[in-house]
Amino acid sequence: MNRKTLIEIKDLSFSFDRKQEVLSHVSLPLYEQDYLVIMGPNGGGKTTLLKCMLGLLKADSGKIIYHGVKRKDFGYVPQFTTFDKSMPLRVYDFVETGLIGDYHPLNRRKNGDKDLIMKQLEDFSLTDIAYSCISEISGGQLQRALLARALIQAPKILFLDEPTTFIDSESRGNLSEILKKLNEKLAIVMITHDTSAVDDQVKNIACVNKTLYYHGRDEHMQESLEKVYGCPIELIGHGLPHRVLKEHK
Amino acid sequence: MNILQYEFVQNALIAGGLLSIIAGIIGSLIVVKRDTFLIGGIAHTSFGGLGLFYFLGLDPILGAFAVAIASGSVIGASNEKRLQTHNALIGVLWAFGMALGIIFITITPGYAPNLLTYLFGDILTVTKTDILNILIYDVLLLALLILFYKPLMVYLFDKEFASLHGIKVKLYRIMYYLFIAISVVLMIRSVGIILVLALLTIPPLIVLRLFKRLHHIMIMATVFSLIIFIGGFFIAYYTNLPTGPIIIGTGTVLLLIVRMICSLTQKNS
Repeated sequence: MNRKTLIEIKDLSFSFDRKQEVLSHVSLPLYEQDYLVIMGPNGGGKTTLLKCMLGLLKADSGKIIYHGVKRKDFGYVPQFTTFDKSMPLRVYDFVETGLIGDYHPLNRRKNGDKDLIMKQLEDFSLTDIAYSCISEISGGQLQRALLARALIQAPKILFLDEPTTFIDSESRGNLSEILKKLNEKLAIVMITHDTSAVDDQVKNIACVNKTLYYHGRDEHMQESLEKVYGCPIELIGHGLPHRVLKEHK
Repeated sequence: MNILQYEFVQNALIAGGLLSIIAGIIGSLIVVKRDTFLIGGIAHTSFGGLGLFYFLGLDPILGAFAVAIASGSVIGASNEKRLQTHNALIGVLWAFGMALGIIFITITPGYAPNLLTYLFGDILTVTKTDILNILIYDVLLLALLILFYKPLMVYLFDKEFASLHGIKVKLYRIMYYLFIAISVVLMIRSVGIILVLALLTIPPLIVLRLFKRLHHIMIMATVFSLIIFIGGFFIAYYTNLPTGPIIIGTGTVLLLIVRMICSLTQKNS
């Protein structure tokens, strides 16, 4: 791929409290308009790697070089478990929180904000539930609200942490379609432990379990995935009548 | 004679009105963030400071204030994610604060003060200075809330997203505990240590399920707090029973009534 590199991870190591090593000497590039899926078992350091890329966690050693992208260019869709769904917050207000980066206490809401939020709600089919509480909506709707919030400031890279875990198969199909369209304009980094989340739009796959086992998109991936998971893996693109890779023997 | 003509009654009602704003705002934050145990912890720990300052011959409320801030900082510094140790720490401080308070008051020479005054407070002894302190605090609290409501919402809801967008999560955390500590001490003076917890939780609990947005919950919790306060005050006055406990009793009954009406209307619809 001859595209421009947006983020370069170089020899990154991370440990919690300097004791338990989670990531060890990981190097990984992210290209412009890349669709990178970071795979690996639970506890393999995927989320940690993502948070390092976002700048939310500081690595012990190694570095991350950003080429022309800043924090405000990052859209982030976290796991459902990282936030408090019981908060009194309507879908409208929730999507609005995506604009918080521009907030200044003495320069109150700009007039265009309301239109922008309504447009965003419409784009993600959330208009009907705009004034419902986030505690009352379905997993698929919440996932779309998270996307709407992450994308309202037109980021250059969209990060998604286990986006398929709490949604049904229909919503998964929708998500896949949405991501395909988005990838025409921006780079996507998705982490998942769910091998069925990988479809034919994915441009690069990184297998991480403490270290990076594989990065790319070819036939060697199968072997690496099996090494990472420690068992045979079959990659099947959901909702699409094809296999991502050759049938596993 | 009209009871409103008495200065102590006027002071009590003004103080109650001003405290309702604290109960509505801070109480809603605490209930939404599920930190009621924390409030109990800070309030009871501050009893240790109260006893110490009493022993030293200083104003006990200042001691309570110092310890409330100190315990707020200690609890704030402990990791919220490690819930087990976090909650245990609050429990230890709670018990230790109460124990220290009683030891200091016991070893203080001379006439021992009535402990019930600090535990249950007495709104009828509120002075003009107390009112001024509460008023200044109310203005500060409201101003900060209006200016920083949106980032506060993001902080409460999703800390990672907040910090990704440049919100100083640590500063918000410190401010949260600091404001809780100040609120608790201001309320101890009027309703006492034990009842602070009730006054900060009952009004927001009454309205929590009725409104979808935090600022609506805050406003309505303030209104209900005022109703509970004034209602409780007059019931206490005419029945000649202690004000603090009657205010809380009124609140609890109101909470039960509202919840019952809610579940009945839900069943019917």
